Amino acid sequence: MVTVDSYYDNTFEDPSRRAPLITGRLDFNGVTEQVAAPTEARKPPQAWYVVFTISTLLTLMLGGLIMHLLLKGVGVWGNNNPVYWGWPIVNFVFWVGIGHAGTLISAILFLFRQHWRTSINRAAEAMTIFAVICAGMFPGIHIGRVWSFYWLFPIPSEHLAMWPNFRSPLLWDVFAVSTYFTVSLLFWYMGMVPDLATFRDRATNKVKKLAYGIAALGWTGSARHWHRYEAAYTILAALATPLVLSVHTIVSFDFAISQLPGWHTTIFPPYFVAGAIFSGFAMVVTLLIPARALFGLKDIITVRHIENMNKIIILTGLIVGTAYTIEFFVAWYSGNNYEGFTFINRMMGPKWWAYFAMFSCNVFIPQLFWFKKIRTSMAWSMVICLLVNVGMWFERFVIVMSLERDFLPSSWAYFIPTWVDIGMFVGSFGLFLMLFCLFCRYLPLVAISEVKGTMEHYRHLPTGTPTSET
Amino acid sequence: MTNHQNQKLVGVLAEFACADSLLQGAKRIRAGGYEKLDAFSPFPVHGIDEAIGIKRTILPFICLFTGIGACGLGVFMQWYVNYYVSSPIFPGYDFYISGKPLWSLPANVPVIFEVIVLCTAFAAFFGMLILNKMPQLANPLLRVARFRRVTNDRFFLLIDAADEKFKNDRTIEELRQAGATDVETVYSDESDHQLPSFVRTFGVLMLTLALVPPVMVFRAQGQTNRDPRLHFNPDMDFQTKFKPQTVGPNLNAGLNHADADYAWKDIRSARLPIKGTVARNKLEDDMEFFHGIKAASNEQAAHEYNAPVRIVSVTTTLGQDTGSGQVPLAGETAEPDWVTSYPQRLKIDAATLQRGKKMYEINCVACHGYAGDGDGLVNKRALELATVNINGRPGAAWTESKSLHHPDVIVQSVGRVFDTITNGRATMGPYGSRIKPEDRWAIVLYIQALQETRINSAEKFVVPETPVTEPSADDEQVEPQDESNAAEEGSEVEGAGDNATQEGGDDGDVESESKTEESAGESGEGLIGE
Repeated sequence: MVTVDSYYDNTFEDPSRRAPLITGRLDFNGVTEQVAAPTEARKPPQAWYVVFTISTLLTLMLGGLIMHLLLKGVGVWGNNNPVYWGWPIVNFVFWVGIGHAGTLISAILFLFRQHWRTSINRAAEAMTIFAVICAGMFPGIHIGRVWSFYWLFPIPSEHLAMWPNFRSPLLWDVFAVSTYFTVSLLFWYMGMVPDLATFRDRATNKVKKLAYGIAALGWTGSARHWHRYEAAYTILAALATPLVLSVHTIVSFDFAISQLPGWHTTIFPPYFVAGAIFSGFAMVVTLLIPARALFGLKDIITVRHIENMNKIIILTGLIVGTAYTIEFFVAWYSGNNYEGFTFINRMMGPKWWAYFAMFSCNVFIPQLFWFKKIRTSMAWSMVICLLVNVGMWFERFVIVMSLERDFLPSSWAYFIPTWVDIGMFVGSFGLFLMLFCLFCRYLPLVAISEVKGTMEHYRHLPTGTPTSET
Repeated sequence: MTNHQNQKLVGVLAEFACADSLLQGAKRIRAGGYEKLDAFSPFPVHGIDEAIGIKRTILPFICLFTGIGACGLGVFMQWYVNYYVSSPIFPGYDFYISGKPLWSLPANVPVIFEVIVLCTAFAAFFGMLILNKMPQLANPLLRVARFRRVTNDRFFLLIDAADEKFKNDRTIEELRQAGATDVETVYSDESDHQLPSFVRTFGVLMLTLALVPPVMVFRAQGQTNRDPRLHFNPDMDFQTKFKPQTVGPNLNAGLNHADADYAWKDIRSARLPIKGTVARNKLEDDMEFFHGIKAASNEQAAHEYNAPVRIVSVTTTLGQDTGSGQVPLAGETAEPDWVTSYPQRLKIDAATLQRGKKMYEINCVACHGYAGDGDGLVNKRALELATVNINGRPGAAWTESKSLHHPDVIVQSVGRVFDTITNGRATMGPYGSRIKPEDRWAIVLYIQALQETRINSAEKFVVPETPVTEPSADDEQVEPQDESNAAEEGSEVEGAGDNATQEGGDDGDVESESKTEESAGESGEGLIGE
């Protein structure tokens, strides 16, 4: 039950013993105290106020821009012939991809019994939900007549006398993203119920007692409840695993099902999924490095956790790099002029800088993580992960901007975003960060009960592990 | 400890130091024969299920069957929505795209998969809640102070008071022997079953607030408003029908065909009755009664009379085409043989005269005035407006209403007056479709009575049996008409009568009905020929 001291380097690989996941000699109560501290503190750290204020202002700006869009129409964006899908779809794919790391950590790593996930899964799932909110917003406001958004769903309507087309990838998107959001929310909330009960039992004022009390649904930690809870958790994980793969596959279908050079390729689904996980992990690292420092969670979200995520970033970065290369090879190998032109144009056309940013940020820069010094350094990790996020945004930008030059040279154009495009993208970051700030302040940032379960599990390992020694 | 007289014993709660001691204690208690026990821990303790005898949950099966059902739902939904176009209600919509088959399973797989995942996830989450009887916000255990640490770092075992072996003191002793650090009896409090005081107030407040939206909906539905209407309930706001004066269905609509293909040759949406047919109660088999023309007269001439005479009337009013020799001028028209006496079917008595008065006052007074002097309110107002200049033009174009005491009118035969009412004359509109024939005859009778009051001669008009009551038109109001409008053939009626009967004609049915009547009057040998 007792863990090692804070100064213990848990990134040190000793094949003879298992590295501890929690440092700082924390016991069960210590974990609870540390996780509850940010929500029970009288005041959050000053940096929280700064980030929260700025992000709230950006969210208000986003709201204003959406109103502007609704009143004026989608013409306020830069979308126009031939680039009908401009920044909105770039941002949509970017945000929905970010969300995927959360589900990967909470579901896939759970099925693989990766116990280190317990320290980061809650924050990652929260990130998933907020990212999907940002993602869903963009196609939502792109439909033109937002007040008729329900036409997206198969709802009987005498007035319209029409139904959605179920053979369209855009409709698959509606189902995939809304299912993804719902299942992620269920998974997140269900995982949080025991921790909300912890907060309920620690609450000192009436409002908190009531709010956490209702949210905890009367959880007592009964063995019978745990039994069914674990069954449900495993089933949800088993459902979320194929779901997360399907969602970005279907997002890639938005492009791959069409018959445009550069889009109509079978490599898109695996390449998109790998890219999503890549960008998502980068975002988790970007969020957790400041969060663990600000809220004093360094003993729970340890350097080893960050290092593990950085390792996944190397892997997925390599997959993405391979995909970029294979695309080029296939474009040449197919012997298709249009296909060949599209890729040459991506690399050397008017938007060569976007391709350059994409390739260097996604493929070259993450290679620095091969050095242990760099992948265990918080500052380096932060910088590289931010660059990966930039690179992954540019990846979607490069793909969408293939529309600039299609089959007919007379219709070629150069896409330039408007101030509304840029404002909305920045505003979506504001919304995302605002939600994350609220989450850090009012909800358990770490899955307390899961961390404790892991600590208990490690205690039962054969003697020689540092957890039981100390 | 407080007084537990009114409280029910729930069981005995024992605290254990760690997960291991809880597990061992639970095993020992269960070996001691207890059945109804539960363990509580901040995280799932492995092996506790077997230790206290928890059966495997059926949740996976619930999820399995939900998933299978959801698969069927996903297939059915897409089949219905994109393929089942012949459904009696909410028919499906078939998208023809690039000649691809309407029903092709591969394209439907993604949505089927998502529906399965969504439904099964709901089953897992809500199934877990329902099987766990959650949410259960009131629980006697939550009143125990030390139990608050169960979600932090303490472990508990509860032996239910309902257990057969349960005996307060002995059970406590056994728990201590099993390794419990502390043992406590738990009572349920009456107040556990009561709602907190604020819930009632809050609930009433929320229910009241919840009434606001429906009330606003009802208010919007029941009020007139200049803003576009809100269609909360589309009632019959949007009907698949043809409005009056519109084109008929275009069979090529929406098919990207250049030219329209109308269902009917004349393009109009309104349909005329088939030639030679007679609608119910529309058989006009009596020339004298229905047309005011002598039965013996030339039927062909009688039939042809109606159409040209009105065209001529209009053209003369407009001052065009009067010189044409083909269509005779109104005055020179070869008029049919008008009846000079009332038809046999009309019963001439005081009741008919009263009826005529009533119908005259409903339909004719607005222009012709109560006494028939052509001084109705519409006429007066129109003449006033005609003298006003608006933007250099007279405010109204108006031909003075004809006085019924005019010599030209007095000499007209009853059949001719009847025809004027039925088909209109000059700019006076036709009333045939609005007034029943017997009422039209009654009006003729009343007009004649009015004329009698001026001519002061009883020769032409004899009321049999009952004496005629004096019509209410006052003598003082009657003024001699000495205007020099004798040259004008027709009196002009505009609006008044029309508005009375045609108001609210935005519904196509009313319009088409009146059309049918009109056309029935106009068309066909079948109507007149007997």
